[in-house]
Amino acid sequence: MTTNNETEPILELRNVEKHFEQSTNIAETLRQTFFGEGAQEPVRAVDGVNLELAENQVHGIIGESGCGKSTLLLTLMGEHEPTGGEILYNGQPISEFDKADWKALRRKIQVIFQDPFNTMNPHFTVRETLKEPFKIHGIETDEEELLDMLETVRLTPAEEYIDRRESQLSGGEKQRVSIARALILEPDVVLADEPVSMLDVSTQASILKLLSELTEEYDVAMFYVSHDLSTVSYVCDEVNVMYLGRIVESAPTRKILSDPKHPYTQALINAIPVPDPFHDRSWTELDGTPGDPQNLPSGCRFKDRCPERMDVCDQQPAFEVHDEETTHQVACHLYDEQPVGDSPIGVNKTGVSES
Amino acid sequence: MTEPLLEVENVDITYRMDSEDVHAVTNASFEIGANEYFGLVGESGCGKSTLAKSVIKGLDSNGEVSAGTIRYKGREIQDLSEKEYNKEIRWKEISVIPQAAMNSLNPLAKLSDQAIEIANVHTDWSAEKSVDRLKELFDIVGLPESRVTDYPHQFSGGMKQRAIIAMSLLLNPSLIIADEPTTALDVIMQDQFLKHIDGLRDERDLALLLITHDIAVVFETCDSMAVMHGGQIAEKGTTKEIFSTPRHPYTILLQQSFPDARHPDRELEVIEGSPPALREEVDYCTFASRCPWAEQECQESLPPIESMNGNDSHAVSCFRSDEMESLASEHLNTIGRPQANAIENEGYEDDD
Repeated sequence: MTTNNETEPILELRNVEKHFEQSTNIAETLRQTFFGEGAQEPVRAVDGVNLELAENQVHGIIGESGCGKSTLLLTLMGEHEPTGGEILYNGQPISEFDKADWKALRRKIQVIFQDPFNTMNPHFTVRETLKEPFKIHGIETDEEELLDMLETVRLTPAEEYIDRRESQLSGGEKQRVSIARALILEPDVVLADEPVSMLDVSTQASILKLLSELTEEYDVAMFYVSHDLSTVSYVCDEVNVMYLGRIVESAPTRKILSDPKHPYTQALINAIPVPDPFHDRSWTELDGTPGDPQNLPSGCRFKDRCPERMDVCDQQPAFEVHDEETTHQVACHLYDEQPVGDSPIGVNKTGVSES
Repeated sequence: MTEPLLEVENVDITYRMDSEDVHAVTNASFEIGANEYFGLVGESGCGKSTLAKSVIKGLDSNGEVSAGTIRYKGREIQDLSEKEYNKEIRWKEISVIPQAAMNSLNPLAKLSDQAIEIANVHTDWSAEKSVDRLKELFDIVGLPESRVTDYPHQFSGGMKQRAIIAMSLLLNPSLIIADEPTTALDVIMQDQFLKHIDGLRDERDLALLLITHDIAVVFETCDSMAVMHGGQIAEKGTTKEIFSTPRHPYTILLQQSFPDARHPDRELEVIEGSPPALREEVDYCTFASRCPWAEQECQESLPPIESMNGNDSHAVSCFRSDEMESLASEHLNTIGRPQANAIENEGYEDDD
């Protein structure tokens, strides 16, 4: 697949933020309103994310639990309203969408969830599961189409699978049904949330293969969310590494695997176990877990765990292009070309992070 | 190797269900030596956890070891009563790091109190001695000693993991059984956990039985391993033997289905089908239905587990293991791997 930068992105995120307010009870809210006590810091789950997904592209969003990747996905699904920034679908800001637009959008953006064991209605047969999207959108369908879809996701013979219920399918087969359900309305974008992390290794390989074949075959773009960099090369064209609500590095998949720039990306790649007893991998140097998205440090959010920490890291690093040709971008002061002290022109200059 | 610490010999495990029995494990044998790190690998439902539970008398009430023996330090333990086992073996000799290790601490008790309780049940230690011991162990796993009196919620995820490791070492066991200890974790947390487990080798005399579906983790952490499929041990040997000269079709395909970040372009092998339901007595190779090289014989009788090339440690349960090298040659050559006789070349590294 060739990267085509000229085409208009199908889905574009501009500085998207999703902050969760913390006041949970009425007493607290009243106290804040009447006594002017400062509200608790919000949880900044997603904090200024810029992404562009072109037609046919598969972008990985990689990071540890708590980095905000799932919140980002839920925001894209419309489950959360972003508290800042804008999401554009085919150039249209979705904040201006009315109910009918949303319904149309929901047809065009489909989701594959992490847990294949709980995403199907246990009372539904495979046929009903696949018919449901048509019902919701008021589209006519025939048996032929459903059978074709099952063949496409390699559930063959389709006639045998179509009458099965959830309990008669293995984990991998359930995930295939989820994929079929996501693709059957011919969406433009698929959001896949760790689609293989709960499957056995042998099944994982076949689902990864299927996903990458189908995204080509169906001309569909995909956001592939995962914590595991070892599988991205089988699916993704580009990888975005996320840390505490921000993208810290983004590059084509091969590039990021062979030449990771950000110390966090390097740590993520280094921590992947190598299936080879002769290979002597050093254990991770990183200590602890990602910080608390409610009490974020100023400047670089990775600085407290970073083995390369410098004084300048108290300033927020800019997210800059470091390789024009491959659009390899990284947010790290190690790669500052400007002398220290110059105000880095960050993508996120709203100042929210400088608390 | 001196006398093995744990010997599992020709063990069958059966679960009694309402209408039929499930033969979860058939004729499984393996040994773990003192100080040996041993990995048990296989996909979900292959019987690896069942086998481990039989060692700690943790089988569900409808499950039993229907044949074979399990010996710990030369003593048969499969028929011990719960009481005897608790008194003599649990925690003191064999302790467990459970799956979802982070959530297995009692949230309502201080760690020191939890340690006191464990010691109280199994030994005659004073409370003081138990806490001192926990402090020592905190030091080993890199936690500040002062925090032994904290509650689990005061710890971060990574610290809880380390606390669990410390706790499992409390009564100085010779064997730790870890059942999928890292499966729920992110790569970095997993790596921190394995780093501490690996670090224990230098600190004390300890053997580990690591149960996981992740063959990469076993290759990195363990000395030897067994691969299970459908309740049978398909192949066992040192990790280096299994890596360099796998001779069971399942091992060969399993290895190839594993992504290796060093070789992002390598095709992943797909193992079609799923293991049999094991409802009848298992007198066939359970991999036969998925095996590209299966013959009539494989469906009809249980392949014996035979050692390879007169090698003591490496054994395979496959009728065609001798032919595997040529049969599966295209699967074996896709990774530039050193052959067994090149093992001394420790400097092997990939240039990725």
